Amino acid sequence: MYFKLVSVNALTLIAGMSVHQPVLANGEGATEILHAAPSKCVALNEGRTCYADVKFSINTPVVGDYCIRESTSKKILQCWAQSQSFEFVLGFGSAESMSYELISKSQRDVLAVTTIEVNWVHKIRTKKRRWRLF
Amino acid sequence: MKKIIIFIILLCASFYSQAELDEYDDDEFLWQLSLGGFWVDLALPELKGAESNFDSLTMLVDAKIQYKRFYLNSHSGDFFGGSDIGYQLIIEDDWGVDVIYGNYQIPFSNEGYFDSETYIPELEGIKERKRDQSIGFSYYRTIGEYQAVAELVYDTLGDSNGWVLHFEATRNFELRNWDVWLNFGANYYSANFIDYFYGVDADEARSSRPIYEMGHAVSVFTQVQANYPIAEDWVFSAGASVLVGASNTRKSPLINSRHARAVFAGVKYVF
Repeated sequence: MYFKLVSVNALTLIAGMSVHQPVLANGEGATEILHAAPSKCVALNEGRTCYADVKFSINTPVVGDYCIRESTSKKILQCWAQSQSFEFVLGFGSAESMSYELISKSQRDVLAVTTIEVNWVHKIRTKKRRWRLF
Repeated sequence: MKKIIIFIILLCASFYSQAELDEYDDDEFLWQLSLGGFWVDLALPELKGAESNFDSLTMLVDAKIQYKRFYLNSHSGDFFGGSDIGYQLIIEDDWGVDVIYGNYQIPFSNEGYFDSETYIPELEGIKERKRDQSIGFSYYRTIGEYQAVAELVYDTLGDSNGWVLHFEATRNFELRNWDVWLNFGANYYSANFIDYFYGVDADEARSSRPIYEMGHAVSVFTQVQANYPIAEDWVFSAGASVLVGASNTRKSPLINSRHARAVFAGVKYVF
């Protein structure tokens, strides 16, 4: 119910057939080439690391060499050679929302971006965790 | 005595309020309301002749309010034990002192624990034991992986003229998205306090119920609770608690057992 970051959800860029001329495809009929599920991770409190097994499904327009990396750190998570459709399961663990990019390995162009939102349930961290029986 | 206690507490609060205007003061008014459904299995110390075991589905309404150094944690479910109201007098990195208001003993009357409006011969003629309304100080400190708390409260607004010393330690485990905490501790009840609940005055005595005067008493308890965020606004909770009173509690002509336990599980929606 309390959003730390509620934006940039699954911004999907499709490169089309050419990585040199990426096309923004948010309209109807556009194929989502990078899809993450679940796209939200819910923790009990703000600041808690939220854990989820996130499945990335990638469907690119053409066969090629691709990688998934973290948007901020640019750390490569995994690469695939001569592939067009593939999946990847990430053991997600973060206290903040994180974005991930699909890149063309050869061109290093960003083909698509998706964000795993981290939300939390409680606005107020309980000062005392006990409850009295009486 | 009550006036002296209130005066001392107000004096301390006033003194520290002036002295401790620091970075911890937050003007933001925070609130949170939760509404849920829980299955509760509750066994209270067995009052003679009265129903003391309760097994039911129950509604739970939680309210939490925080403003500056004041906080209120209110729980509607009887198994949660009422409300905590506090004012944070001293806030340091790993310790602090609060002024607190809370309840430390569950009330009962000649109708049993929850005003069942049934006639209970074994409890006929006893006066109502009202819920204590205790005010005092809470000292808390982080010791290694544990949060330790010592509370000294006096039944300032209640009828017992007694006091309670409460110790507890809590260890929290974060197991991926699960939050599990384990808590254990002890209560020391002054003679006045516990005698108000389990003693038998002369005007309450009957042939089957002799006069009984209790001395001070102790109870020990342990609790465990697990919470899990099911979805953005939903939390699953389950927990269990056991309390054992001192042997002199059992000698009271009003009760048959000195044990209490609670087990619950349910979900709540957090607004």
